[in-house]
Amino acid sequence: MKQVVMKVVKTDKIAASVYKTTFTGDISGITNAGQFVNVKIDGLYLRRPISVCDLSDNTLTLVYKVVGKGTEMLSRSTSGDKFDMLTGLGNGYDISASGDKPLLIGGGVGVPPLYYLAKLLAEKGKTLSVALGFNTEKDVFFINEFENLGCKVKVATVDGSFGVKGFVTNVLPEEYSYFYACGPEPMLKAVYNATKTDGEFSFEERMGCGFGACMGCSCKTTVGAKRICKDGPVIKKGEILW
Amino acid sequence: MVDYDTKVELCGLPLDNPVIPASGTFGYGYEFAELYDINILGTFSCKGTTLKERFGNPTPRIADCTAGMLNSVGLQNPGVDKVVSEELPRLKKVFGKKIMANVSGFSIEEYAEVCRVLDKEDTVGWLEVNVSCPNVHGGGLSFGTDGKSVAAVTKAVKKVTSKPVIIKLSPNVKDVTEIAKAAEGAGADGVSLINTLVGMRIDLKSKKPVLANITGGLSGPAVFPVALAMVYKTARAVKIPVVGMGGISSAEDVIEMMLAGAVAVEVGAANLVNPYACKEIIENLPKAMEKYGIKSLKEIRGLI
Repeated sequence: MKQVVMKVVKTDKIAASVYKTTFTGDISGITNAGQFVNVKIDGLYLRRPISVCDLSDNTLTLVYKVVGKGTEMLSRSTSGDKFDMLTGLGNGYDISASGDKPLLIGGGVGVPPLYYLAKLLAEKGKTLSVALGFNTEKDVFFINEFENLGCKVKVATVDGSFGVKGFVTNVLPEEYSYFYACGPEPMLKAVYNATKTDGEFSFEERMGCGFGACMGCSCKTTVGAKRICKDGPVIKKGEILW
Repeated sequence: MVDYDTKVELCGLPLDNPVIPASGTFGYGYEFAELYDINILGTFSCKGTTLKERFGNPTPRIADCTAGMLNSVGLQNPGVDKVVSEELPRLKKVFGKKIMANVSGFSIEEYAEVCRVLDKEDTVGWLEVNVSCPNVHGGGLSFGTDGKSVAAVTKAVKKVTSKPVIIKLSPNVKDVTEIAKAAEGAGADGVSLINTLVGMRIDLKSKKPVLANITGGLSGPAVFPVALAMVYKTARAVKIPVVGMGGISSAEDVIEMMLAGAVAVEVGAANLVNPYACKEIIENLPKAMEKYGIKSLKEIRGLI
């Protein structure tokens, strides 16, 4: 964990209520895909945890949906605005477990952390499949970004306005070596039941500190209580207790 | 250069400074020890310990508030045996001073048993007995709202330990000074206050309480004036030392709390939003003392 001040480069709207903000600053605290940052926002007491979407040189990209005051204020940030962040929080994905043909499964705002993961796996020469689920066409984002990394992308929307009509579990490929999933809990449960291999899930929870001190975000697992912020947010399939 | 003396004494044991991270906001110290040398602290109060392992309440158990936060963690901890066999030995590697062990229970016997086990530990300097957790039913708070129960817990604990016993008090009572006096009368060596105030938030989208437990405990700067007033009243009602806490976030807050009558202070929620909060407070203390013409923190206790 590192406490740093990050400077906004720009903020763009990329889908309905979904924004992408890029920052420059010290990103050396972030060591893995699937980690998150905890952002201090003026006027709000607790920091807001947001997953890392991309990293390159000194640039950090966050993609988030406006769901409350914190994300709304962040979405209004413009070039030069400064944010105090705790960076490099959480365990992140186990890239070594991927096998040759990993599958990335994302739902809605669970998609962003899979992007940096895809980038790291692509660099290792893996054959990547990506299955994404959204509610409707105007929620869809990042298809091109995944395709540009060489991923084979399939999309499902609940209303059928884009891709296949249905859920992300309707567009899972036949063959994959391992999977990584991030999205709302009902989706993760469906993925848990629909997948045939081992894999891991990234969870979210309301957090106090984000670095393991307050026990605010604990969950029960087969190996005892885990703190989503410190021992997670990524938890292996075999450890999950729904 | 003038030397600014931050040393204080708590129940006969010396502290380099009055700053003590509060129970439940500092874990067992390791997360913070990765960031700075936690030996600069006066001491710290470890995560509340019960006889058996507890997961605590269902999540969500955190909610943001104006100038503060709610928690309904509900005393998650590995149980006293694991605290002694695993946490304390690990803690020794990063913290050389004696800690304050925070104890909770659901019966007088449980409080006494946990304290009896912790009494044998050299690393433990003080026992802070929490009779005021607002998040567990039939637990701490029901003891803490009744003077007779507080006296009974205090007596039972004092019988099994020679370490100083500090009773942690709830603000969710009619008159905190009555409870403090009951603890003092039963032999407590000190009291600490305030634990969190009962509060709640409702999510407007789902139209449901944010916390799965419905209510939780409010902490953070929002409660500081409430805490200050209660510490002020309590310090005048009892002769035993009072440890002040509730929303302390700066060196100035520490001085204010000590002027109200606290011999030492605990810092809670501030650690969660700024992991360096205690370090910064300790570093800023001499500067703040210089600014307000204070040479020794010992001298300002209850000055008003």
